[in-house]
Amino acid sequence: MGGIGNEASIRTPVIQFIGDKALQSRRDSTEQRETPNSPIILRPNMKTPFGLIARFIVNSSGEILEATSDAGGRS
Amino acid sequence: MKVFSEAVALASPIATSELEASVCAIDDARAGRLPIELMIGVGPLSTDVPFRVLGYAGCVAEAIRSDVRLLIEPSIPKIRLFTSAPKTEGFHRGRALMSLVTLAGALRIAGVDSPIYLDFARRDPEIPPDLDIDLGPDLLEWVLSRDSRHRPGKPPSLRYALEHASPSMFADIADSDDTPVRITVGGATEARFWAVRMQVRSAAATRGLRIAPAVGVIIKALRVPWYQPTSYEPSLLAALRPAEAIKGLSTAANPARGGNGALRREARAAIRLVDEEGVADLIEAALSTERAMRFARVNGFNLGRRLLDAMENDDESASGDRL
Repeated sequence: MGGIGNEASIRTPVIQFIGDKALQSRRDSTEQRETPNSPIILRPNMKTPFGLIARFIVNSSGEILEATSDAGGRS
Repeated sequence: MKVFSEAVALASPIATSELEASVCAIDDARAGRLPIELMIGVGPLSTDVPFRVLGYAGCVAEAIRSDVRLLIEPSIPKIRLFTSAPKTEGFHRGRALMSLVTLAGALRIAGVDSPIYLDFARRDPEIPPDLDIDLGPDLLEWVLSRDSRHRPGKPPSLRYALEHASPSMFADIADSDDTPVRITVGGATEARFWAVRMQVRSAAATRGLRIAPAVGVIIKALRVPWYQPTSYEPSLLAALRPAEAIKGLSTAANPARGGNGALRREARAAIRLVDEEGVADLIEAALSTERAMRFARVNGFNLGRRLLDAMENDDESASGDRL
């Protein structure tokens, strides 16, 4: 297994080349974008980018947020 | 519109580019252009394999049939089970093997028929120590207090939590060119570790390291890791007498009888599966490392190099095997 920090592992991140063309084609269609690396705050019951609705979302602190009738309370 | 049953963890809100890459990767995987690996982690097992492993496998199998299928259909994933035990103090190779083999066997009993790969995490630290990682106050407090509970008397450390992103664990930091899409499936503890991993990913990407696309499916009802059984839970061996095992686990999951209600969902799943064909062989696999290895081979599980090296190493001081 290649280790981190060796010459072979320090390359362009995979996230930049996987679907680079596909990314370009989505540039104008994805909602909520402000700048290329701005945070996206997903909320429970929001349509995810996979086209499916998530009732529960893991936030950046690792808490699981659950949708409520008020649209977005905490579990 | 279809709805996920469980909590969904995304490469978000760390960076838009991460999220977009994950979405594109899932699209590619659905179209058969990228392989998919389901990543299921197992922590160090400190006692005998509990009967609850069967219930955990049942819950994971449900998540695979529902949320994972919604995400990746029609693709067929590989399943990678790994144990983080080698990264912890008091590593016990026999128990580490047993935890992987019994979970893999339990997944088969629960109806999961994808190829299953088993391996140990690397013992050495893999995350560069000088990455600039900011966990934020809430997450930092959780990591440090957890570490203090698991390593009492030792200076609190972030190391174990950060290693979750390493190539030999959830593999957020990629180790090869042909990186698959990786879908983490696990209980509520994985949500916290997911957040840690996202911060490691972000720091690693800034450093120019390779990052694998990832999505998480977190089963929020599973709040007590099965490999850390409560003191009243029956062991897998107890399932030789199914009625007693069912009674024991039902009691352990019943708050009205001094049990822990967080075990209920796994208890129900274990009870559903206990009479399935194959349970007797699974119990036998938990009797010794030799039987566990035989069980793994008979069932066609793919064994990773680190696991094989550890099991072939007779040096007890190196492996910590006391079985």
